[in-house]
Amino acid sequence: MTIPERNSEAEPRLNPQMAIELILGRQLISYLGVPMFLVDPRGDLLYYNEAAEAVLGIRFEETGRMLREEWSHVFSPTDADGNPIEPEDLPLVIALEQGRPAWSEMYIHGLDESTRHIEVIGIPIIGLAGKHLGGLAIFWEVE
Amino acid sequence: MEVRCDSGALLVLDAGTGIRRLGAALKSGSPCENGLANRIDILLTHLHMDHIQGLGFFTPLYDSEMEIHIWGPASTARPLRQRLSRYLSPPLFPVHLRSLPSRILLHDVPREDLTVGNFHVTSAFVCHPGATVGFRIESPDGVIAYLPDHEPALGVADFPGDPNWTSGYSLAHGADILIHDAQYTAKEYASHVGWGHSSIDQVLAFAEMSGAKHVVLFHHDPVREDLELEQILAEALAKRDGSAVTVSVAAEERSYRLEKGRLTVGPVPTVA
Repeated sequence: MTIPERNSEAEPRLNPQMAIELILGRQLISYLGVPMFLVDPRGDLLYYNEAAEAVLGIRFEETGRMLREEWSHVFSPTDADGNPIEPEDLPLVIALEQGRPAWSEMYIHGLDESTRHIEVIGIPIIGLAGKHLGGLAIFWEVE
Repeated sequence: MEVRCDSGALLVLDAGTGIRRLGAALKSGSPCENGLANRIDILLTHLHMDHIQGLGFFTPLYDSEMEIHIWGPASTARPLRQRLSRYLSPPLFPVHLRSLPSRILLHDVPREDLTVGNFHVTSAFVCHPGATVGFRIESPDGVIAYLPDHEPALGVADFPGDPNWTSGYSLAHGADILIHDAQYTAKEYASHVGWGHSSIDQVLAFAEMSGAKHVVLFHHDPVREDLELEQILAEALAKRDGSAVTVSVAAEERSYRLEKGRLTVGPVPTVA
């Protein structure tokens, strides 16, 4: 398993300044104890919080921003039978592409080499002007 | 606040109580020149009362020859007309917005940009409670950024940190004039975090980070006296020795002239 290098191709794709909804979203989730994962409209990772670090097995400072193609594979999501979950079936990708919330149960292989059983909700972020600004995944370990 | 360009376009920034005097000063049909004589554009950053309460007393709204464009923050919940009508209708105001004789056109921002005369205006949502935008006004003579209610330091541990993650940066970047919320002192801000306003120290830091050339301290705390403002500014500037950003305090009737990027700041008028 490879930890993506920081400052990947995701950096130049980012806007000069994030939309206020994303700025406030990042601020909010950085204060919450619920694991959350924030992406831009394309699905590139912008940020995940400390609670998410515990589930993903790696600190955000170590991964930095990741392209959608990177994060959707790097945690090796599988179903209960061990079959890989395709990126387009991940709740966050559904939220982004279909503009609706989506839920799923899955197993991920964290970058600390631990496999975890999690539930995930993906939510599209739509601004007051109706603009699609990105998405938010909320997830937690299944006891 | 009134912004004019030599081609005659007139922008009015927000519609507080000062807009009544502006309306009275404009003669019907001649606020501008060069074919824009009957048009006024009012840019509303948000719909808090102190930003709209003068609207009903703006006399051009009662002139059937006038075309008034009102630009305000978009909402997916209710259209701008409906939200403005909550104030411009009984029992809060005797006249319905729809009954005003001028031709009123409402525009959602930041969905639409505005180009009028030599002005090109863009906007973006910024950090302040409720839907609030800031404006960036560009012309061949320079750039004005207007962020009268703004708290870019909210929840940011290392403010001023990464510009990409700072509210208002794209609007203020490289502005010749940055008109910015400066309601509190640093001490006052500590007990008003999240109220949507900034301390003077934060404004100066934001201006420097944004590469703004001149910052106008605006949206003073209503209880502030003139001398107190000067003193607070002197203290804040003393702490920022060596900064390239120049600073002035907004005052009623004070004027600023921007010509080919060169700024002339008018004196603070004496109030009789």
